[in-house]
Amino acid sequence: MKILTHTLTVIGLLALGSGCAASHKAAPSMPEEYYGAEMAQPGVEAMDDVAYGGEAMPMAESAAAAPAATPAPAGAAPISDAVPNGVLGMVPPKAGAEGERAIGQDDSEIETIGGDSVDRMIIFTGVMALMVEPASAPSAMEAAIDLAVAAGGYVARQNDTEVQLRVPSKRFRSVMRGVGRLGEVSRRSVNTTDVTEEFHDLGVRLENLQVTRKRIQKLLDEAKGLDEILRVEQELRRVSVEIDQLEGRIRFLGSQSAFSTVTVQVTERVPEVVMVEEVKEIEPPPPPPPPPARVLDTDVEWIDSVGVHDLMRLD
Amino acid sequence: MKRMILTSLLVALSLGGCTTTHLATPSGFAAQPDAGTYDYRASDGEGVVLAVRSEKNELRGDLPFWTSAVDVKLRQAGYEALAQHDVTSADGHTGRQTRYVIDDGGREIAFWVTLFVTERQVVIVEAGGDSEFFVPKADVVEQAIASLEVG
Repeated sequence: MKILTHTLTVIGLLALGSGCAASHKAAPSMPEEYYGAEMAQPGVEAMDDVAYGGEAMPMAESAAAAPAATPAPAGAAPISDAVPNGVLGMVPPKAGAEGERAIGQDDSEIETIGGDSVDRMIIFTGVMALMVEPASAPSAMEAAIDLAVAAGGYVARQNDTEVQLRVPSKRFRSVMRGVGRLGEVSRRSVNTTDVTEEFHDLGVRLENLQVTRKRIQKLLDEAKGLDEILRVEQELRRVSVEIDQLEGRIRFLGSQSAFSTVTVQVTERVPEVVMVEEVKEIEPPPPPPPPPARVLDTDVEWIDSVGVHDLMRLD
Repeated sequence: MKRMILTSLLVALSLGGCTTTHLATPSGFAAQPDAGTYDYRASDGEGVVLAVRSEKNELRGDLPFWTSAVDVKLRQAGYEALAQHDVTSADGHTGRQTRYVIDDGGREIAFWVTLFVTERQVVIVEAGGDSEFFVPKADVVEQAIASLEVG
């Protein structure tokens, strides 16, 4: 009887885990000032040193520096556990400071998005085509990379004429402006994708699944009998896999929105070739030959018969 | 009798007023009995022709005049002058010889015209033929022309 009771409980939890996401109240998982805060979520781990081109931020330090965000539902781990380092617009202190100096005080204060949109998760994708002086493409690309690194970004891809930079979204606009000063902008485009809604939905589903997993774990502790234990463990694995998938998706969206893509295409101007045209004096065409000289038409018949035709004709 | 004397006198006068030209027929040539418009015409077996005619000097032109008049006509007809020089007849008249060539269907034809001019007549000596056959006989033709007696 007790086994039956546990089994029914597990079935009920299955239904709860798969369909109750919408019934849970969506927990605000975004920082209060998504793009404006240096650190928004407690518990956010230090950013990847390599990825940012700077030193990692100590976890404790970052947590201390971050303002408190909206608390997560009781019993659920915060979404930021699933969000990669620096997803929420945080800039490492060193990189941020240097970036501001490198980009300039004015640029660093440029907001990428307005204050009314602070809770939006927007993926920025910018393309900047630059025309630079001959033989200066490498230096222009290096300068662009310096701007990105100083802003806390990194190089995602590079070839001879193009470099793809990943920069903190908070610095997107300032980096774009800085890159635009490296040459003559021949083309500039910015695309945005708002993933806020999807991010929130994923967060709610994740928190609900985490609650479900804890309950399953509790049932597992109380389970008796091999059959019951196996069933509960199977369900626990399924929920865990789903949690992993959600965390992965959240992590991906977080990284995409936390870091914007700036593609810099550099084209060198073709050196102006001074065409020195050899001015050839065009010789006037030779005058047409004069008509045959007018001569006396000697009115003597025998002259007309002088010649080989009459001479050699055999009569 | 009186009529016979008068006729003989007219014949004698007419013969005395005319001049005759004479040219020695060179070896290898044969004079044609019927020379047509020519006073004399001879040719060899390869078609090299030598002919003489006498025309009245109606315009009283001198040697340069008739030489240039003939030259103009020949040039207009497509003859190309190669050389020109004076020659002397057997009886001491100075003549002028102009040597031409003309294309005749891809073959070069040589043509010499030599003029002797007196107050009353113009003697024209013409010689011509395919250059292939004429040139080897140039000396013979020159000697024949030099044998001319303008009269």
